[in-house]
Amino acid sequence: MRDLNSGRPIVCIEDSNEDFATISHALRTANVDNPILRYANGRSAYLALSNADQCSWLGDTAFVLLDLNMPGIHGCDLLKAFRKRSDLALTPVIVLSTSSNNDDVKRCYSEGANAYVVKPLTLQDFELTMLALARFWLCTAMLPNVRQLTS
Amino acid sequence: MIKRAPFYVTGVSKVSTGNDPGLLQTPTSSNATQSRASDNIPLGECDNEQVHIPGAIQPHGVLLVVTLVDLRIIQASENCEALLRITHADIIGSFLSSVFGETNTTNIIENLSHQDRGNGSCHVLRLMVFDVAYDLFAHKSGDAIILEVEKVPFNGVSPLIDLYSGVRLMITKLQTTKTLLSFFDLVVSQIRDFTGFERVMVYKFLEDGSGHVIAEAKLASLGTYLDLHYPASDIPAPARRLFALSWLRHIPDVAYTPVRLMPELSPLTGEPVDMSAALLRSVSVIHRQYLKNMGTSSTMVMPLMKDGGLWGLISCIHHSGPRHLAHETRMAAEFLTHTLSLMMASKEDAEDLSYREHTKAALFNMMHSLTEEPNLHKGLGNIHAQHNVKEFIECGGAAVVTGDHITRLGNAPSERSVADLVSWLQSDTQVVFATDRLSQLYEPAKDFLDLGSGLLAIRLSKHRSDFIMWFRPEQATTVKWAGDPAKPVNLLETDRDIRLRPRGSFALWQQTVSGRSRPWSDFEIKAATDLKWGIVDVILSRTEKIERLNQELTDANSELNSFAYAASHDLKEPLRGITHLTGFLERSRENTLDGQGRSQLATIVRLTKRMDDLIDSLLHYAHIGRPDQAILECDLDKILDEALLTLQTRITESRALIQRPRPLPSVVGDSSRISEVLTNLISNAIKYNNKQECRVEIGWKEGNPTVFYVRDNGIGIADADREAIFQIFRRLHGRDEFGGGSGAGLTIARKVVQRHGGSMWIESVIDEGSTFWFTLSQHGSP
Repeated sequence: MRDLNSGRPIVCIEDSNEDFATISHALRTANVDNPILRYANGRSAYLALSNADQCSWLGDTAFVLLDLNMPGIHGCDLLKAFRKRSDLALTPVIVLSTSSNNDDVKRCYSEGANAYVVKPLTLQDFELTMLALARFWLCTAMLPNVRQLTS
Repeated sequence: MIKRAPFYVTGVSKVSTGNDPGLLQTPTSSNATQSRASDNIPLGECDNEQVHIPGAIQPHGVLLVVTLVDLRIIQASENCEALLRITHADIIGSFLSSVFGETNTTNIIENLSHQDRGNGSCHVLRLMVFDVAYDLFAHKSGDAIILEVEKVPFNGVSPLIDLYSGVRLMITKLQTTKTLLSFFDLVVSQIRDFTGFERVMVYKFLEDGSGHVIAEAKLASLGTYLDLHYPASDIPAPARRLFALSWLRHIPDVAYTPVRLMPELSPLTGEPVDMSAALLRSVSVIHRQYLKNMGTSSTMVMPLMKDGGLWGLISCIHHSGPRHLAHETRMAAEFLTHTLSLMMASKEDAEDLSYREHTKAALFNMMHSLTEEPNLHKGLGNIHAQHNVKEFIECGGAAVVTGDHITRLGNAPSERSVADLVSWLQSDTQVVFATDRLSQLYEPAKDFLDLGSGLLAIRLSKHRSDFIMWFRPEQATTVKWAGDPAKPVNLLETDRDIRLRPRGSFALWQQTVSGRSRPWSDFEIKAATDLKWGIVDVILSRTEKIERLNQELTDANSELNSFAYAASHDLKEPLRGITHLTGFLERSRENTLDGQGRSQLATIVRLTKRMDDLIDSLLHYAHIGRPDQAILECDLDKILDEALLTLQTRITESRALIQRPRPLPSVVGDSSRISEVLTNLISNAIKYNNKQECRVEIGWKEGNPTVFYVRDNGIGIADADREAIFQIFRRLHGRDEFGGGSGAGLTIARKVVQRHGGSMWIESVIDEGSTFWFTLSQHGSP
């Protein structure tokens, strides 16, 4: 895959090992070779992301894949934390959720999500979805250059 | 038969104005004293007659007025000579001691000093004058002593000890009587035995001042007065006040000739002497005429007091001739009557008390059942319950009214009449309405006088027509009056004046009183009011309870929502894992898996897919229960168009024939959910069809509310299954027969309909087809 944003990390916040395995598999299947950084629970992600001094390299993130229902902290609260950080305020956040509840969908968009995607049930559908996401966010969409903005 | 009133009437007051002279008011003129001179009284002066200053006495004793300062006799009755053998002219100016001796005088003064002024004349001593026994009575009146010397009658003197034990026995007997009436029955017969009068009666004053004979004992040969009513004017207010003041009034001989007191006016004050407490006081001419007209020869009257007021009289009458009771017997009678007053009050209170106790218990029980059964009709209007509103207050019938719902108990007017009465009462804002003559206020009540001449109603709500009512029937349609109550006096025109005489006829005069019930007592009105506040209390606490339950329900619902939400995530996540792993397995073992292995993996995927559908349906169903419908007016015809568009593929595949006989009307509701109802019903109709040509008809019928239907020519539904098909995930057929499906479609359809306030039902014939009917609003709404 010709990659506009090669090298920039993809941050995945996902507590389910199976889902994370499928996500990684699907991204690799889609020829995405960006580094994938995973936070395995909401709490650790929140600690890392709520303080701008930590993990300054995160500003280079291509996009964030965010699970909504995680033990401890809800995806929407993490989203809020991103948007407060100057270096992550503009980074695309794609919510990946089991829930097709309209309330969840509305809430995520109003908190600044860039896309809301319901996790498909079958492996094949999942692969197709991830491929579409990678194509769009890595090859089609122009992402803001946070380094340039801040320097 | 001639009935005669037996009562002590001391004057005629003007009936219409009741402008009574005050008891202690001094006379404005001396005209009052002239009354003795004539049997007729000028009409213009009857109001002014001072019943307590008659200026004359009865002839069975002598009255002397003595100064307090020097005990000198200043006035004397003209009959001194006949009784004391000394003329009144001679006695006036004498010192008391010179007439009665030093010892007697000292005794008189001694006794007098112990006397409480309020007790009236007191017996001070008995003395013999020329072998005749005399009783002396004395009391103070201003700066004077009024001394009365009464000849002791030969008959009727019992030794005091006999009188005492007799009275004691009576009181013991009286204490054991149960009701007030049996109490009085005993009282009159005992007093008659004891005094020897030919007739003894208890006469009770009613609210309007008229009297009612409630008990009587008499010689068998005499006609009865029992139950007779006497107009208020027979015993006018000033006379009633005098009765309340003295404990006993005795006229031994009604036909007596009054004896004047000389001089007429007191030398001390220049005014007539106040003789209101004098035993010998002469009664008014009119009263004597009244008694004579009744054929009464002798009377003795004692007041029955309750709570400081005159409640009634015990009246003793002799018809055959004079009857003079000795002081001892009178005193015993006086004492007995006083005791009776006290006992009577407690008897009457006890009767009242048992009613109060009953009412209290009934109120408590009704409130209790109302807490259990908040419906007023069931809680308070159950005729079979031990306590209901009818038993609460003494009445003929009762009614519980809430809006259009009327429950009648006992002998209440018709439902129609009660409903009309409610609309009339509506205009009145009072909490309690009570009348014993409803038809005078409300014309239509004339139609049910026998049921509701009296009405007691409580209003339960300011804004709603909720009432509790009690009805009392017309009562005592006939009142027996002793003579025409409208004509207590006769007018006589003479040469110079219009003169007044008490009525000569006491012929029974019956008055028909219509449209009146027994009046509601203050206590009953209070009890009704208590019930009102009790009901309000229960309703309020119930409202609070409903609010609390609502809150709990909201909490439970929101919990259920989060449960459904969590379930969707927590159940779906492992499902997805299974599916994905199956996918990985299938790919990585592609070459090593045989046909059976591949088919098994495919089955795993299919089953997880199915489970995913089920979870979705469940979530959807839970979602419909949420109170966030978008209720708007919408065009059902357009909604149907959209539903058919959604089902396009299935319709084409099944080649179903969709019919719409006429356009559907507009409805008020949540269009997306109504669309779901149609989609589910139509797809159901197509799915469960085994006919060559599948036909589905969507239509409606005007009504209140409008009824819609989806009719098919499918397989039909057995009667026994008509409820089962609405149960979630309940299937009547094999999973893959008739195209499968999650089994929630009809459940969801019915739930949507119910959320709109409507209902859904089925008509079906096996193998011919089914019709699903539904409404989208409550019965009665358009």
